[in-house]
Amino acid sequence: MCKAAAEASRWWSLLDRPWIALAAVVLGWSCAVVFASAGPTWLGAAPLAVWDESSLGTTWKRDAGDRWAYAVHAGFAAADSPGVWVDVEPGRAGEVQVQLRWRSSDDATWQIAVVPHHLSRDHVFFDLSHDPSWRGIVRQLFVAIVHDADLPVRRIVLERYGAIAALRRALREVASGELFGGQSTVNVLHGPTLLGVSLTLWIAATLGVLIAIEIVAARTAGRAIRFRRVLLALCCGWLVLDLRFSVDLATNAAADWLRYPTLAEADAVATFGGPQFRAMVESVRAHVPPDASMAILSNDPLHVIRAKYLFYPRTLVGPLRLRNWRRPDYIVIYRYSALSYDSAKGILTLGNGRRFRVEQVDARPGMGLMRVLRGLPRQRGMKKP
Amino acid sequence: MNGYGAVALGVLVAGVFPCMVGALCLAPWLAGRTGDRLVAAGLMYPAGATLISLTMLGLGLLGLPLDRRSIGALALLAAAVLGAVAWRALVTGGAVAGESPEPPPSGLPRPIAIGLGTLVASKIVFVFFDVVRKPIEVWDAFAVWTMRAKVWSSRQSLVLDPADPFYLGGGARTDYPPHVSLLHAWVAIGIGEWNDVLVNLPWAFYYLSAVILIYAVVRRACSSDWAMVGAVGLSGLPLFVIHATHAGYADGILAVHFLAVAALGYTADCARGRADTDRVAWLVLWVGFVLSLPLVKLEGVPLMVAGALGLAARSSGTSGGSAKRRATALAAVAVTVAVAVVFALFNQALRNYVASTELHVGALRAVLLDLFAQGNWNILWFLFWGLIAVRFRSLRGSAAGRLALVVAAPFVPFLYVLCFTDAWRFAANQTADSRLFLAVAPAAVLFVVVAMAGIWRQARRR
Repeated sequence: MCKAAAEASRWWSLLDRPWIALAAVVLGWSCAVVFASAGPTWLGAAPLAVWDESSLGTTWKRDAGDRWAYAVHAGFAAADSPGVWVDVEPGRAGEVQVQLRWRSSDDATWQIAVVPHHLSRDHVFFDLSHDPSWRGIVRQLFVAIVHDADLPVRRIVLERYGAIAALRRALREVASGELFGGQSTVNVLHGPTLLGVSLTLWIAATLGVLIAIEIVAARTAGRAIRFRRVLLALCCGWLVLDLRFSVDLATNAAADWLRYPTLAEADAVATFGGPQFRAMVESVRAHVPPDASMAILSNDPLHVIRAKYLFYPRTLVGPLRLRNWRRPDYIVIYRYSALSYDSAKGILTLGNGRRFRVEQVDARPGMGLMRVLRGLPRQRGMKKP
Repeated sequence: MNGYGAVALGVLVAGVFPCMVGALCLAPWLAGRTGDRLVAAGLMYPAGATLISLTMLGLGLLGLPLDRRSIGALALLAAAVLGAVAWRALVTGGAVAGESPEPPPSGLPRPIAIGLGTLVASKIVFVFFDVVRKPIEVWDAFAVWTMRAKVWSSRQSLVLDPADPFYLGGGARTDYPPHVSLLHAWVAIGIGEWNDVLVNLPWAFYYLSAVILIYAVVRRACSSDWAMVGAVGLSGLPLFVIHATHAGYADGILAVHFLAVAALGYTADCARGRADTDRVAWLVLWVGFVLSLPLVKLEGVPLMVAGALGLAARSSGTSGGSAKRRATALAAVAVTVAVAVVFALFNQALRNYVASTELHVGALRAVLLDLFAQGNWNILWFLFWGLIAVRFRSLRGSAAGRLALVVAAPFVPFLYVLCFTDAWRFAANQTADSRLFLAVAPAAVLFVVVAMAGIWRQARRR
C-alpha cells in the first residue's frame, strides 16, 4: 500500500513541471478525439427524438423558393432540450446557411435561429439553451438550407440535457473537426464544449491548476520565484492557445486560398450564396446597361442589399416592399413568387396589382430578367400595399 | 487590374502614402529618441489615414471633387502644416527629448527571442497574404461601409443631394461615421478603379501598426523582452487577427485607435522628468486620437469618455505637477467630454434604444460566455481581470492603474446597453457583443503585459 502511495506520489510530483503537465493536457485531448471517433451512440443517453430521411417531411417555402425540411409530429417541451442537431450531406454545407424555425404553444410567431457563417462541417448544433424564445411545447420545427433550393438535410436530432449528452456533444464536435471549423467576424471559434464548458475554459482551468501546483511545489523557493513561475506558466498557456488558433487560421486560409488563387483579382460576387445568385448577378451585369434603373423582386432583404452593391452603378429603384415605385427600366425576379407573368401578352402583374408590359431578357432557374416597356393600369380588385 | 503590379500599387496607395502623411504630422516625435521614434512609427499609419479621411470629408462637404491629386496634395499640405506647428511648439521648446538612455538589455535566451520574433513576423506576413487574395465578404461591409465607399469613389463626391438614389452613399445605414468608408474610397480613388480585394488593404496596415505600437510602448516603459511578449500577444489575439483578414468591419480599426489613446495616455503618464519627452508632447497626440474615435464608429463616444477618465485620474492624482500641465490635461478632458456628450445625444436620437431597469440575464450570460468561454480572446480577459484583482492595491495611483481604468471603463456603458436596453438581443444571439469588446481588447493586452512586467520586476528586486 505504502509502495503504491509512494509510486503515485512520484508520478504526481512530475506535475511540478509545467511542460509535462501541459503535455498531459494535450495528450488528454488527443485521447478524447480518438475516443470520440469510435462513435457517439454507445455512450448511451439517447437523444429525445430523431427524425431521419424516412420520418422527415419536406415542403417548399412558397415565397422565396427555398425548400424546407420539417420534423413530423414535433411536440415536445423546450425545457427538456438544450438544442437541435441538423445533419446535412457531407461536403454539401460549404457555403450555405442553415436556418432553424420553430413555433411553440407559448408563442404563435415563428422563431428563427441561424448558423450564419462559413459552415464547413456536415452537421450543426443550434444551442438554444439560453434563447428566451425556446419555451413551451414546440409544435412545429423546420430546417432550411437558406438560398439553396436543393436541400441536403439528412437528419434532425433533438438533444437532451445531461452530462452524458453534453459529453457526447462535445466529443462529436471535436471528432468532426470543430476545432478547424469556420471563422467569422462575430465569433472566431465557438469552440467545442465538454460537459457544457468550452475548450478555452478547460485550458484556463488547467492553467489555474498548474499555477496552484507551481505555487505549492515551489513553496520553499520563495515568493519571488513563485511569482515568476506563475507568469511563465501563463505565457506558456497563452502560447498553447495561440497554437490552436494558428492551426485553425492556417486551415481556413488554405481553404480561402483555394477559392481565390490569384492576387487582387477576386470579385465579391464569389463570396455570396449559391450558384443561382451568382448567375443572377452575372446576367444583370451582362444585359443591363450601367446607366439603367432596376428593381429587384426578392423576398430576402439580404439579397436586395447585396445586389445593390453588386449591380452598382445601376440604380435600384423602390424600397423592399414595393411601395412608391417609379417605373424601372428593368426588373429582376429572384426567388419570388408573389406575381404572375403572362408570357403570351408579355404582361407582368405584381402581388399589389401593379402591371407592366415587359420583354423577357433572360430566364434561368430561380430568376428572370425583364425589360420594362411601359407601365399598365393597376389590376382591379387588388389592394394597394 | 490584377497580379503583383496591382498589389504593389495598392500597397503604395493604401499603405505607403498614409504613412508619408502620418510621418509629416509626427515629424517632431520621429526626430526624437529611439523609443519615441518607434512609438511614432506605430502611430504613423492611423494618423495618416485619419488625416486623409478628414481631407476627403472636407472636400466632399465643400462640394469639391474627390480626385486623387486634390486629396493627396491637401493631405500632405495639412500634415506638413500640423508637423511644422508641432515642431515649433515641441522641438524648439525642448519638449521632445533628443537623447535617451539605452534600453535594458534583453534577458531572453536568443533561440526563444528568435522564435517569438518569427511567430510575430509570420502572423504579419500571413495577414497581408490573406488580405490581398480575398474579396470583401463580411455582411456589414456590404450593408454599410463598402457600399458608400463604392459610390463615393466612382462619383468622386459624397453625394449630398437628398433626391439622389445614392444619397450619402446609399448604404443600409447612412448615419454611420465616415472614416472606414472614406478609407475604402481613398484606395479605390488612388488606384483608379474599384477592386474588391485591394480596398481591404488598410486593415492589414492597421494590424501592423497596432503590433508596432504595442511593441514600442512596452519597450519604452518596460523592456524589449516584455515588448516582444506584447507583440506576440496582440499579433495572435484571435478576433483581432480575424478582423484584419476578414476586412470590412470598423471594429478592428476602432480598436487600433483606442489602443493609440490608451498607449499615449500611458506613455504620457510614464514621462520621467526633464530627461524624457515631455508629457504635453504625448498629450497633444492623445487629443488627436481621442477626437478621431467617433469618426470611426459610434462606439467611439464611450471610448472617448474612458480616455478622458484616465487623464482626469492622472490630473487629480498629481501633487507635484505644474499648474500649466494640470490645466492642459483638464482642458483636454473638458473638450473630450463636451464632444462625447454632443455625439452621444446625436447617437441616441438616431438609435433610440429603449432602456429599462430589468437585467436581461440571457444577454449577461452570453457576454460572460463570450469573454471567458470562447476562443475569441485566448485567455486575455482571465488575465486582465485577474491581474486587476491580484494587484488592486499596487495599481492604485500608478500609471498601470490608470491604464486599467481606461480599459475597464467602457465595460460599464457596453454592459448597460447589452443587458438593460432592448439591444440585449444582439448580445443574446452573440452577433454584437464580441465586436463591441474587440474595441478595448488590444488596450487590454497592453495593460496585461505592463502589469506582468511590473510583477516580474518586483519579483526580481526581492
